[in-house]
Amino acid sequence: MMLLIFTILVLLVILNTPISIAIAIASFIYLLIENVPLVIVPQQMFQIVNSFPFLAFPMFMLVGLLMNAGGTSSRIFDFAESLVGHLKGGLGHVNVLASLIFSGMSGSAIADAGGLGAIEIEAMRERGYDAEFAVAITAASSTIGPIVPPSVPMIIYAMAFDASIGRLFLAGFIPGILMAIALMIMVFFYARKRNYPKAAFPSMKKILKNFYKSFLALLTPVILLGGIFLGVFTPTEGAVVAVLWASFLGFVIYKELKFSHLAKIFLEVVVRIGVVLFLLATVGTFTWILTRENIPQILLGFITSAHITRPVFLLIANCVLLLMGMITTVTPSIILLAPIFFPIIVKLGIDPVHFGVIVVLNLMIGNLTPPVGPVLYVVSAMGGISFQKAFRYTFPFIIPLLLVLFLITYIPDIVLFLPNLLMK
Amino acid sequence: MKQDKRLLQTVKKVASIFNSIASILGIILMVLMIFTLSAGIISRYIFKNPLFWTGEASRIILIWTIFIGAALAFRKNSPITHIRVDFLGPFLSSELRKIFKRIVWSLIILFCIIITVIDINFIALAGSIKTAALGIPKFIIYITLLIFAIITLVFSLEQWLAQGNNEGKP
Repeated sequence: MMLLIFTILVLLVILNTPISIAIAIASFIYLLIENVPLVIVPQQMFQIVNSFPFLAFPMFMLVGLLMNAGGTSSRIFDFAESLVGHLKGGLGHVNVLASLIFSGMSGSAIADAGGLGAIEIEAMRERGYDAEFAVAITAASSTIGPIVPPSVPMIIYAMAFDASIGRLFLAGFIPGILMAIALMIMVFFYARKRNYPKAAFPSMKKILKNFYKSFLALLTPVILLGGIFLGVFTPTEGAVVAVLWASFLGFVIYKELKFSHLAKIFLEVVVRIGVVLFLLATVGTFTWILTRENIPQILLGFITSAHITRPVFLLIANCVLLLMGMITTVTPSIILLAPIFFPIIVKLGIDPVHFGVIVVLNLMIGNLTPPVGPVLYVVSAMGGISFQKAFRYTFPFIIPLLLVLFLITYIPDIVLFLPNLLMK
Repeated sequence: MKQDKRLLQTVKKVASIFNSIASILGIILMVLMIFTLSAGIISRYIFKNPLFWTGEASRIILIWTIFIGAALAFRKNSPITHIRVDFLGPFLSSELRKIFKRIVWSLIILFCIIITVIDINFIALAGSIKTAALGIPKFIIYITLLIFAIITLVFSLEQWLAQGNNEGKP
């Protein structure tokens, strides 16, 4: 029975049906055959999206887009440039560092790639970098966004896997910094091979001036993360505070945000969350079917009877997650896999916080590849190169990211050190 | 053939009207969402007297936003579209591509019709139950799926007809 449903699902997806529709139609067929009343579909759809934490989604996306339109992103770029612009292949390093800083205030990779990415690619092309290199490093560095808090995927994971959101957020810091270092090492090699320019070492005055100019922008992660970690507000409320702060910066301080921008930004957020959360709603129905068919128990039984150990399971999980990341987006994958993976990690004694960072990083890396690579689409369009070309050049940057993934998978302390130190 | 073209014109007009209404509604929903969430935070932290309705109201607004946004992503030339996997695309002739596209749009139309029927039943079944905080009928929430299905139906019909029209055959 489930085999039939999966076959239909795969066929529909291959036919180029939107994944959400394919899942819904496969679910309809199951329900009709099993004689389950179809009203279960709207019931499940509404139940899954009727949840307060999901409001973090539009809010964090809004923060990113408001910062891009309001001039905050360009100030962060200037600040990062004054710090690492003098290294060989300077703007490549700036690209990574700016993404890391931006990660501390935005929860979505698309907003990072779409706004900050546009500034980065333009600056790099102006100064003689290849478009392919600019696109590749922008795409690769945007994966840091959802690892470093705040992060929408982590919020969703915390909900689905019943993990502590505070611990998850803390857990992302060290892996995020490791990713940045790994990417900067790659940039260094590229810069030597292709002889990319470097800027002169900036004067102390210039560094201080750029710091002063970007000070209020840099305060955003401090307010946001400080508020969340001190327990002043929940991540969702933090996102709202950040929206208000970003609007204040854009309208009052930098005066680059116009009311005419708002309509466009709002509409973009509406359609983007419509796409992701509608897919999530259809996934909700599908997980109901998986549970009804006892699929999670069957898989758990298999894991136990085949004596699959923790390291082996983590390897399998990594492969499955990478594959999922390649064909869908991050949040729906988390919701779909949660009922399957959760009992297994409990059984094997894997810390859900550790597993959470693995899940999100895998899905983010999978998102850098065809056939579905939302970030790559946005970035390749900005760099004026084809999607295929963008992937070919991004591929080498996936290797250092996989290396970091390997490290955090098999050395849990990298992930768990901070949460264990600061939160019990 | 001539009738087909006239039908396409009508559907196009309706789709464009739906598009404008849904876009404006989407923008209003975002404004309402920011306002409601801010009101919730301000009442809690500044006035120390949390408003009881903001949590529920913001969730209802979110659901509206999701389904309006999802419908808009089906419209023609939408810059952001629903996620698809293009496995076969590069290997197909343009003829076959057109046929496949028509099949997919037919499936989406079928989906909309099924959803319309189910959601009407669902509203009849559970629509009059009151929400916990605001005490308004849940009909307000459940109707979003119906609106989504109708808008998407029109958008999909437009794309379906456009596929045939390019070919010069009905």
